[in-house]
Amino acid sequence: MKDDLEEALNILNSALIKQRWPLSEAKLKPLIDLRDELLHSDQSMRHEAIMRIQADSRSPFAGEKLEAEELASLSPTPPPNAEFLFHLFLPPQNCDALVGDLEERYKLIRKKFGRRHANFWYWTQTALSLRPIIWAWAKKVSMKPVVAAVGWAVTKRLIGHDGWFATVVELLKRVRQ
Amino acid sequence: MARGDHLGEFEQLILAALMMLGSGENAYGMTIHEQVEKLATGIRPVSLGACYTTLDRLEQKGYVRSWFGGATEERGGRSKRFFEITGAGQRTLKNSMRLAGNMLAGLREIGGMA
Repeated sequence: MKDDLEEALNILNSALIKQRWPLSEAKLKPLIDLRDELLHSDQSMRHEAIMRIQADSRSPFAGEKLEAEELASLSPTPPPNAEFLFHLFLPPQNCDALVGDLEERYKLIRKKFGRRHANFWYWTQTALSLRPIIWAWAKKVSMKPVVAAVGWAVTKRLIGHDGWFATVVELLKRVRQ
Repeated sequence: MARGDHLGEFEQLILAALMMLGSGENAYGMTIHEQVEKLATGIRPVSLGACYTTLDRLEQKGYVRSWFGGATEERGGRSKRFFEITGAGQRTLKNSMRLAGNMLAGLREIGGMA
């Protein structure tokens, strides 16, 4: 719980509210709620969460007109476009593990060096990682037609027909026997 | 060493990193990547994607096994994939190291690796 509070303070106190409000214990709860909502919601839900927090009289944001986009952009999640690229070439479980690893390091870098550095690191890692992943994917994909072609050639030779239709019919006959 | 037990340079690095990290839940993508980066410092760049594709290949060869852990918040609700070197992996790595040791000794004899 203490870590949560510290994280909320670090993220929100330094970056989000730009040290405009001194924070007391009583004001921490809405901050944690906001942080959680920012972490676990999509763009429209973020906007709603921010509006709700702003309307809350206990909140340090009460009465302040903060840009929803600015707040949403402070959510410590990596760029989703980069993540999408991994989804194209990896099976879902592998992709989750890899993206989770990147996200874990991304958050550490962001905490230490800020959003810009973290985003740069994330995109660099994505670019470097995609090359071997695409290569492995291409090898896997290109092997399938090769195996199919070899299988087809062997079948045709075994059965002794030139036409594909005759080969299939003959193959089915033999399977049924 | 049986035919087909040959390990590539990067496969050796990954298996060495796994041995260093030990068994249990210490070895997952990020820690393996960090360990391999340390081992390859100044020699070659290492990406996380390369680690994963090599780990997949090693798993197919039976040198590594993997399993998925629970989802955690700091990973955005994504689960970790843990890895462990198998007995066959350890044997193959030791053989590769012995081979490298022999080469090094041979080169030292002729003064090629001062």
